[in-house]
Amino acid sequence: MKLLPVVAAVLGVIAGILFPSVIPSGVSIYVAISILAGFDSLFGGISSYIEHKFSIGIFITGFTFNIMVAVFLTYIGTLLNIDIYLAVIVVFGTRMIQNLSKIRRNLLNFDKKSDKI
Amino acid sequence: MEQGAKRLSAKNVNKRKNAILVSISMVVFVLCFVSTLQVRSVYANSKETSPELQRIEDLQQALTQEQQKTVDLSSQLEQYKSEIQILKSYDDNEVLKMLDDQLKKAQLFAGLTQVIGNGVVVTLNDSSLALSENVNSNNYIVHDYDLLRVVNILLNGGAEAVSINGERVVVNTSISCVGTVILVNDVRLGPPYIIKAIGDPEILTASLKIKDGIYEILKNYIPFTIETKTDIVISPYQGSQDYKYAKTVGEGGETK
Repeated sequence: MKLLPVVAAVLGVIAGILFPSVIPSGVSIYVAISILAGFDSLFGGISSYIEHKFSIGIFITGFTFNIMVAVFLTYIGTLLNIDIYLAVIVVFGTRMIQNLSKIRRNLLNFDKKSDKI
Repeated sequence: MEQGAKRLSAKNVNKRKNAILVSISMVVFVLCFVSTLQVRSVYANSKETSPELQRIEDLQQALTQEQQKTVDLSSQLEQYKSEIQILKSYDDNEVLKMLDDQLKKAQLFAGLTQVIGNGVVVTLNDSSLALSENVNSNNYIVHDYDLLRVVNILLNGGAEAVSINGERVVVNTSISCVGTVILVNDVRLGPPYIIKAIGDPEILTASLKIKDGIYEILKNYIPFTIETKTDIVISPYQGSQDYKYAKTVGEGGETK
């Protein structure tokens, strides 16, 4: 059961390779932003899981909302002719890295929960 | 009792862990799927839009277009050849002659041919008198409306072909003033203005010299001569023949 996410990852990659059509270049930026937002939520979820603060509701709604907000902001950016998606990238990128480092620290200090650096 | 509750809660915790794993797995699946697809798409799109390939595609498209054009043109050529054959078989017929006559008439009417005939040559020039005070200098130069009136009178007198300094007056000729020169058929003309008209010389001269007419008025101010000449040659209209807006209405109201 613990390997389920790994299996899902492999299946996802295979499905992506076998998928018959490709994404048109026009929506490419939206998909990229969505992926970034999705990974941010995923790492946030993993980090909270390790901290035993995981909530399925927050995880799923966070995942969908992050993507929606990211896509919406990008769309607004194209309407206003300003690259708002850069802000989205910076925010989600930063949070992703923070979550990753949280995960790393938690994994390293799994036994000594007292001093988390 | 306590142990039972503990076991129950342990079971619940297990269930919850599984639910968490499933939800994470779902998200992982979606993300991996979309990421892979996106990587593939970016690669494919970059391949599609790379300038060399784009250029090759353009060229290929142009090639096919040109080939199509060639096919069209050769079929048109065949059509024309067969038309020529048909027309050749009519060679002895009157049809061609009739068409030719019609064409010549139309060209003559449109002023597209050089014509020769008897008529008058009218010359107008700016006055060479020295300017003096108390005199309106405007009266001593040739204006566009002077030319317009002379041409109008000549046409009224039955002139069949008129030209001003070699510019043929045709159906859409305009005579207008631009600064110091006069624009006829969009060509700038300067004095002296030599107006050639083919028609009955007597009628033309009489029309101009009518009492209180233009000749009588203008000759007091500017050099104005009317000569009767034989075999006046008037050159054809050489301006633009583009019709952008007006279209011929064919039979049955169709536009051609």
